[in-house]
Amino acid sequence: MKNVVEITHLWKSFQNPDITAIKDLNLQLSAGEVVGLVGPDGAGKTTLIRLLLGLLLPTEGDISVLGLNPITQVHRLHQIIGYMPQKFGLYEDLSIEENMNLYAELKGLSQEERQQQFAWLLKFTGLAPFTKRLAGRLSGGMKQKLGLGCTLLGNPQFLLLDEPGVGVDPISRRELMKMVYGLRDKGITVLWSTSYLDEAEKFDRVLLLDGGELIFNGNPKSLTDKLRQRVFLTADTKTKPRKILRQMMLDNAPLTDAVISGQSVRVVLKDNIKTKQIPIQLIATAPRFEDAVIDILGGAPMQPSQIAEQINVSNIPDTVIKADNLTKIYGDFAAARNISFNIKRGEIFGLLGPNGAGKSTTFKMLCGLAKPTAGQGFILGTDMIKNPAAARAHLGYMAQKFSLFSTLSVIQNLRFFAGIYGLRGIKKEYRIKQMTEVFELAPYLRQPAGNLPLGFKQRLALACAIMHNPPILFLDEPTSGVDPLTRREFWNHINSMVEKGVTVMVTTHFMDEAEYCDRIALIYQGQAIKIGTPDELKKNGETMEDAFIRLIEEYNPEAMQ
Amino acid sequence: MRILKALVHKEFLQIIRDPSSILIAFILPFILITIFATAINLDNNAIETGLVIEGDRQQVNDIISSFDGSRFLTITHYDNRKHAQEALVRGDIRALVVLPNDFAKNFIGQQSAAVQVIADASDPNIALFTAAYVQGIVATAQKILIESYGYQKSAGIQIEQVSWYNPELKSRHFILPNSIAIIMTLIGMLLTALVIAREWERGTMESLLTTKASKLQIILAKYISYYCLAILSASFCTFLSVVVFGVPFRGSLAVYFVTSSLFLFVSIGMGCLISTLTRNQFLASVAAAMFGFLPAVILSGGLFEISSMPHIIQAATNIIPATHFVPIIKNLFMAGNIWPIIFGESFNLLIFGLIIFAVLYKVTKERLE
Amino acid sequence: MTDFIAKCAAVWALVIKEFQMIWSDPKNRAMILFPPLLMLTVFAFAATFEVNSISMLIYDKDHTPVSRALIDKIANTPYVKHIDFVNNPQELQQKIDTEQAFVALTIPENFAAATYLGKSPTVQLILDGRKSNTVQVVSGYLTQIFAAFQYETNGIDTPQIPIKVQVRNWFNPELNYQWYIVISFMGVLVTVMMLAITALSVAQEKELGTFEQVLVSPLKPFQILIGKTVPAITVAYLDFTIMLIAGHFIFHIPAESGYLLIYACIFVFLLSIAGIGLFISTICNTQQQAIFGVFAFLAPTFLLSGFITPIENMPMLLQKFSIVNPLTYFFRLARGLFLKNIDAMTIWANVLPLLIIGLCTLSFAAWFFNKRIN
Repeated sequence: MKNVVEITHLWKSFQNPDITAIKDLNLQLSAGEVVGLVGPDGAGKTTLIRLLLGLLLPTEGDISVLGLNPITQVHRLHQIIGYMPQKFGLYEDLSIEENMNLYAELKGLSQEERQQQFAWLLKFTGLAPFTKRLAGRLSGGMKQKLGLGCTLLGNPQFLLLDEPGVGVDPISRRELMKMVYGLRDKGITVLWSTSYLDEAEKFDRVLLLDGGELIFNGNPKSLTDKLRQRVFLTADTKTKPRKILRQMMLDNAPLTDAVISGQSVRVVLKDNIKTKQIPIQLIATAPRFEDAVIDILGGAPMQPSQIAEQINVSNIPDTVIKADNLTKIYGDFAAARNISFNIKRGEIFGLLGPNGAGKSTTFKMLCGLAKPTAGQGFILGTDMIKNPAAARAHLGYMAQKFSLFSTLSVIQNLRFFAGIYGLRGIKKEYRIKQMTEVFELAPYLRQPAGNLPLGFKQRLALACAIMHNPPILFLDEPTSGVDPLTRREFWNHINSMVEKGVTVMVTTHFMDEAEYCDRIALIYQGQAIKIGTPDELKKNGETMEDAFIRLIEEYNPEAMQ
Repeated sequence: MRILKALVHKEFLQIIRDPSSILIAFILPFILITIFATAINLDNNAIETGLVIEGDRQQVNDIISSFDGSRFLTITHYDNRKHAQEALVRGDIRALVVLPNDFAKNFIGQQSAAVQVIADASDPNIALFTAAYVQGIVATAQKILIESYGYQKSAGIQIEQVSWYNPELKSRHFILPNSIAIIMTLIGMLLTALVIAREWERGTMESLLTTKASKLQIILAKYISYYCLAILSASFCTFLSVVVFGVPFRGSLAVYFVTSSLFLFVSIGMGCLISTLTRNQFLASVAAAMFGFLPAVILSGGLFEISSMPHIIQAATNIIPATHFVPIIKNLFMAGNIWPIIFGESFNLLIFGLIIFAVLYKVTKERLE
Repeated sequence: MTDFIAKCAAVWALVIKEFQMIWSDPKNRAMILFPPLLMLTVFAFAATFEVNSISMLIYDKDHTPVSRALIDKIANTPYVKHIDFVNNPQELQQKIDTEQAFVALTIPENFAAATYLGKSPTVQLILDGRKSNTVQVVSGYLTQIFAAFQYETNGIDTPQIPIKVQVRNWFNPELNYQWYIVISFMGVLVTVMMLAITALSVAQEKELGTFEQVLVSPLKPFQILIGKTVPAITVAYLDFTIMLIAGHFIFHIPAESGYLLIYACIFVFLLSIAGIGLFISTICNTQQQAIFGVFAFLAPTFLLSGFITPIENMPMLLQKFSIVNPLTYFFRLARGLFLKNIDAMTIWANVLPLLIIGLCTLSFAAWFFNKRIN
């Protein structure tokens, strides 16, 4: 059988900024495969997809997709290929039905074909009850399904999905995965780019790109298996795992990766290192694909973060954040109902939940961006409604998508955020210098923030949020769409600050990140259906994702259809 | 064809869903037409003027009543020159008429008597008009005076003045057609200046490019949908002008439709071009205001006579689409089908539109680089 | 006290950031610097109610030395650029129809004879009503020419005018129309620029998501507004200065009240425009809506400002609008300051409403900020 994709000696370079995005890539994909495309930010994933689609032209080398040349036969190619871009390519002011109709016409479907496919797709995506709803009013998960639905119109033989899971909850991601595997049975080939490695683990084949080079191409298990006997959990569940992790870093333990997992630290030993060489008691555990990827990419950064050196937040009360029956009602829809919890000093508190469950609303009420309909939110004992400005001075806030001023340079961003939090004079210059050093921003200072690599954008966003030494950090999906290495670096900084007494409230869709939290509130249908430590949420060794889905099913058996 | 239809359908849905495009396409035109019809009136007829009589009022009663009765001037009386001059400086009055102390004496004594006019020339146009009105009033008053004092009547060249197309020289009759051209510019250019940028920003352009839709279809869809919106809006404006504000329409509706379409072909093209070139809403909007709206008001020949402008500016007015449409629409409303003008300017519009379309096609990219 | 300084420092940071965002893009810079100057110059030369190149048709049925003398007299006036002779009414009609000329003079057969006999010959003047404004001016010119002609040919001082009208044009003795246009357009162009900057600033940040980031800082809404207002006013002052320099050196506009006072009064005008721009910005969610909002405000405001047609000519209802029209106050103020050297009371009478407009719109914008959050 002929290969769906045939790439030989592909090079792609850009002029501005001057980079080589793809280096000498050779690749074959055969029909009916579901292939994952993973790699750090800037590895060339999106570039590769766009090259396959003919949206970019190769600098050198040959590409053939479904036997067609994407340069010269681009129109014929577009008739038999499906593409779902990062933002799903939906018209937000059109309804589900109208979006599907539009794409059906654009794919040239006949009337009967359309009837047939709509019926199937609406059932397949579970969107049938909402066909009149505007796409802009859908939750992230539903948008994603609609995006896939529109992509599938016209029976494409080859499907390209560019990070469809960014900002989408695990339930929706799991459903999407099921849908895509359903397609494989129809003989459709799928290339799926993702930053969720637990997702990638389930693919038949994974392509790992790094710096434009294909560094792994094969079944993820074969890569994971190499790490057998190297992955362990710490046995000590009495000591705070953050302490253990920090100590291991200070001791320069021979590890390629170490992350917090509930009450333990999950460590990956360097090759040829025996457990005896680690002074802590370890229990062997099964390796994951993520461990393997981190390992092959050269290991996670294992130096303790310098960021926390100056931080001292001992002189604040024990209860830092208090949510007291927070309720927010929009019209006749309760976005949040009677949500209560206390967050203590030096705690990482996670808000988890499906898209549209009320996480963001709760989050916004606590940092004063939304006024509760009923109930109160307190920051350091200050009522967020009565005196928001006073409370906000103690907050560091990192918004979704790293809301930086993209046309301003890095230094201009730093100065701005230092300025609005009232830093000035020598103190301001000192903090900016410190941030520049800790986050290694010096080479980029004069560059516009919008041109930074994603990892550096995230560093800059964090630097801006903590410039004024806030005792409290609000992080709203701070790692959405970010690769595992950058995420580890990010959490390294957060952990070190928390050790010094900084309190963190975070929302995330990464289940491994949920494990880093001291406590989690699971928000569903506007209510906190479960609050507890990660280990309290998990039962008999399930993964966080399983626990998440189980808890929601227990609460509402119909949630998963 | 089906693809084009689907894209146009999509644009329509987007237009309907966004209340701000309805605001620009129907509510703003309604406001503008009403303003143009009622407020923009070049037949000045109520200029605030001060009157100071320094001598005996009795003897110049006729003149005073001529002033008071003028339909062009709104007269305010002042006790003395000083007060009136202060009012002039403040801007309370636009001009000041003084009948000096010796006026009556001189006039009766058959000496040359002088009426003094002090005009606020900081608005020179009004100053000119006021002086002319005062002269007119004085001339009329004088006739009466001459007769009552028994001077001999004299002969002069009599001028029989006829104005064609607009016998009463009502400015509304040419301002409203001109304003329809301005509104069409605004809608054609401003609405479209933003839409292509929006597709890129929201990432939908990338999706469109991977479907069967070609860039020609994508461009045409924008043209067609915004054309329909603008032509609807123009019909609405025409209806308002003709039916509500009573402006005559003497040409053929078919010609009007065809030439309006040509004009929109140009304006929409310019809007799309601005959008494609800037891809930035700040730049697009300033460009639409500075190079679209204001020139359509000032330079299209509707308000100000192009032939009186310096040559270099006369040449520059040619690159403003409205300059080629204003003569057509003005004639269709006031004169009828004046074929040489219609053909000549339509040809210009067509060439103009085709050039813009070609440039737009050239600069629109089918790939991401 | 230190608290106050810290607040100021925070607002200052916002000001600097805002200014950098406006200024960092060379395209923005070009758009801010050049079009206002270009348009000011173009409009100043273009917008004139003077008619200086009349194209005229003459249908001379008389063909006598007298009629030719009249024609010569007309041809020698500087306003008349082009004279075309026609020989029958059809030709005349056709040439007017096709706009080859917008005035036609028909001289009757008995013109010379009547003139010699001291009778009043009647000439027919046909005006193109499609340009009612222009032809009214032309008609005025021609009436004067006829009167002068008559005086020269038969020496009769007709009509006898014992009453003379002496006109003195104060503040602009040469009736320089460019002064009027330049002074007015300084305000109009600065308004366009300022509205675009202020109206888009908040809407843009909302779209990019940076607005939340600023909202969770300790800055209060009115401090954020100050941060948005100051840079916009600075840019507007820059544009204003460029146009002022052009006004001084190209058009020789005097500054009777002195530049210091002009600069000071302009501030209040700019404040009112900034307030309106920010108000539009806070009630809009997207840049597109903000732009449409600006146009929906700008177009009627410009037309009703008294620039094209005096406010007292408008219907009462629309005249009322000028009470809240910042451009109207600007025009009065600017003409007064540049040309008339108005007194303090008059300045105050126009500054106060602008101040009220500015403060109202800014407070409303701040209030809406708060409301939005909730």
